[in-house]
Amino acid sequence: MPREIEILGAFVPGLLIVGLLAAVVQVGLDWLCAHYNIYRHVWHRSLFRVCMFVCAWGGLSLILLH
Amino acid sequence: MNEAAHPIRANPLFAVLADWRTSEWPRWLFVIKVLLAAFLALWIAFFLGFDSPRSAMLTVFIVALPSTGMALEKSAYRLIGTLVGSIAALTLIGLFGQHAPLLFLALATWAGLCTAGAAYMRNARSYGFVLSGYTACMIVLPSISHPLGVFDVTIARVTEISLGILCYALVNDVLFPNHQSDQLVFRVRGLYTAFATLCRDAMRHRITREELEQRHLQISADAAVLEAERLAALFEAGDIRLRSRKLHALHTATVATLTTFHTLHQLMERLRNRADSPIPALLQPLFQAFTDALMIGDEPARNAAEAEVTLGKLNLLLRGLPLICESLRAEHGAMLDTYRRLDLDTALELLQRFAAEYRALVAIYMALPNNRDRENEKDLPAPVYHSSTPRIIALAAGLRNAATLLILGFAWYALNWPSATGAVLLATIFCGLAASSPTPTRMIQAIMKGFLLGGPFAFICAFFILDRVEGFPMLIVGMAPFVAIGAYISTLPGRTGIGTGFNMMFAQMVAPENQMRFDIANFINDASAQIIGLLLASLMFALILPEHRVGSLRHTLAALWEEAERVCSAASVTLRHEFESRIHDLFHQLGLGGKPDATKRAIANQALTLLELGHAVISLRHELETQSFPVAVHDAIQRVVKRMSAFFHRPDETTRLATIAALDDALRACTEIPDAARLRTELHLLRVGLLDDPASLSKELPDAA
Repeated sequence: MPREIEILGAFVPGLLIVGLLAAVVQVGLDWLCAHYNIYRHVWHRSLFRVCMFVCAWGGLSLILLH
Repeated sequence: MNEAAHPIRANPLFAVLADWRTSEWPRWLFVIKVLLAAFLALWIAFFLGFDSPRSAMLTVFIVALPSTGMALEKSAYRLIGTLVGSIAALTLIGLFGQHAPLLFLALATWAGLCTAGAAYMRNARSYGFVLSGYTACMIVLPSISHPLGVFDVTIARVTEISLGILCYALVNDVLFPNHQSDQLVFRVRGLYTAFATLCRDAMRHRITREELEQRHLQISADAAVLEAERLAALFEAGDIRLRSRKLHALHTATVATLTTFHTLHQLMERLRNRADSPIPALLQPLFQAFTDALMIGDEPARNAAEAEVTLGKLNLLLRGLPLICESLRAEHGAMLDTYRRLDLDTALELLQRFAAEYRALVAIYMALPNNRDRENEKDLPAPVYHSSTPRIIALAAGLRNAATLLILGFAWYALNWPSATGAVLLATIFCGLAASSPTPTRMIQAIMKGFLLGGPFAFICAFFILDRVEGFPMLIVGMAPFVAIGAYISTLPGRTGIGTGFNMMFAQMVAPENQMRFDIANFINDASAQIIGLLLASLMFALILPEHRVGSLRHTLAALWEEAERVCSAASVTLRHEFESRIHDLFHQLGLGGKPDATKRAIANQALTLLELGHAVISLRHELETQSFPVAVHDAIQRVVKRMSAFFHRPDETTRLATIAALDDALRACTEIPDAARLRTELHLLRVGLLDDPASLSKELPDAA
């Protein structure tokens, strides 16, 4: 992945943009999990949520890398 | 919890430990979390080579709130505010980068708009508004002298804030999470219990007028806290979202039932004060039956099972109530004159209404722990927030902030002091932050104390400890004790501001960087700039529109009357709920926590009376819309509503007497109509309310004496 992405002529760290995108994805996933009551089957909800965020951030970064 | 079930062990050491675990452990846990998150953020910032790692650390201190929900809520609004503010800053620089005065004007306008929004919203969202205002200032002000660096400053700011937020969210939520949703259970139970005991004590005349008033205000405040905590809990993982609507419905039902209860109680008090009225004695057995139904062995229901029992009893009572009312009317109606009969009818109608509303409240309370009935959930109204900050106050807050920025900006141009940017920034930030608080000066003072306390410690740390430190682990050892002091202070009740101020000053001044700079002159300049900035902020609050602040008695009072007037003409399906939440919101702007003074209590009482009158007007209008009455009745009621509107607009003796005359006409007009029982009740309530104690119904500020 390019370390910096050019937006309107300014160089922005790629991870920052991907992180913000991941936050958006996270909000969606979180809503889905709550709506279908998936959290009921999870032992440590917060940890689960953190993992989801890490997966989203890492996955999106991987997509950008290729 | 249940002491009877767990006999306290004889060992005193064990008792001390148990005591420590409940009182001190949560505080130390919080301190540990703050330390971990702060140094994690600092380390990542060092590792990635950020420009100013201290911003990441500062963010941790700012969003550090004990519960996950609150911290995440604040974080989310901080992030959004920062993003919006950054975009605004880039736009401003792009448009006016070459003309400093124009840039300043535009920036002041933006900051003012954001502050006005913040003062208007008055919930967690207001923090987002403040942030977008001051982020723009934070980026633009340092960039005036070198505009080309603006992109770097922006990116650095967004990155560091996101980093701080991520670190605190991670640490706070994963290590021993403290969920808001768990506390909500206790909050709901406490609210219900307080309400049920209030009803019991009031109906059995066990409490004085002052006590009743105090407890009523307390319940209303608790209901508002419940609503705020519900919103915060939405940011947590879990099933809270499934119950959000139910919690909101519980809040609405509590507030509505509280109003009916107050109306009923007021009516009964008025009747009791007239020594010759036989009605209180007639109704006493009914009240007794009602309080018996509420209680389970003289205690309110504490869980769903007990609530179900209460619900059963209430259902039984409600089924019998119409019959009892009929027989009371038949038995005693003939002996009473017209107004006494109206008194009796009104009291019975109110009691029935109160019982029905209370039943609905218990039903929601009972259904709360149950997650499965998702269908009912959809019928509940979606939560909407109605802000009621008087517009003029929000506008004044915006103007004050814009003026602060402009005045200080020009002073800065004239002064040529290298650290002046810091002072200008801080003054602007705190003008915005404190704008939505009823006691801005006290809030600024708390932060100021923290700054004054943190300054010397930062000096010691920076020049006597960190100059001997090699490597990151030693940096942690050098800084952690100070951060721990600040974090611990902020867990003490009433000292949150001081602790936060301490840590903010500390992080700002010590400014750990990869290449540490040790410059005493610079340190003293910056530190005094911070303190001068705060001083300026409180000065601006004292100088610019000092009367126009949230909770200003005069403006709140005027807004209350305006709300009441609006009720006479506004067309809305949810008018009742809107009116209720607006009045209660205004109520809380008065800041009634603790022991409010006589003036505030008088205004709060007036608000309750207006709430009663407004409700009666809403019901009248509702009856007119939903049922058809003879033309004479219809016109008479229309006249009453018009007169009420005039009275709310200008409450004086003339309008009051005119309204009472209209009410008498309307009452006469609907005496013979069979379906007009409800109309008569409302008309009578309005009449009683207006006849009673006219001095309290005036727009003049009541005397404290």
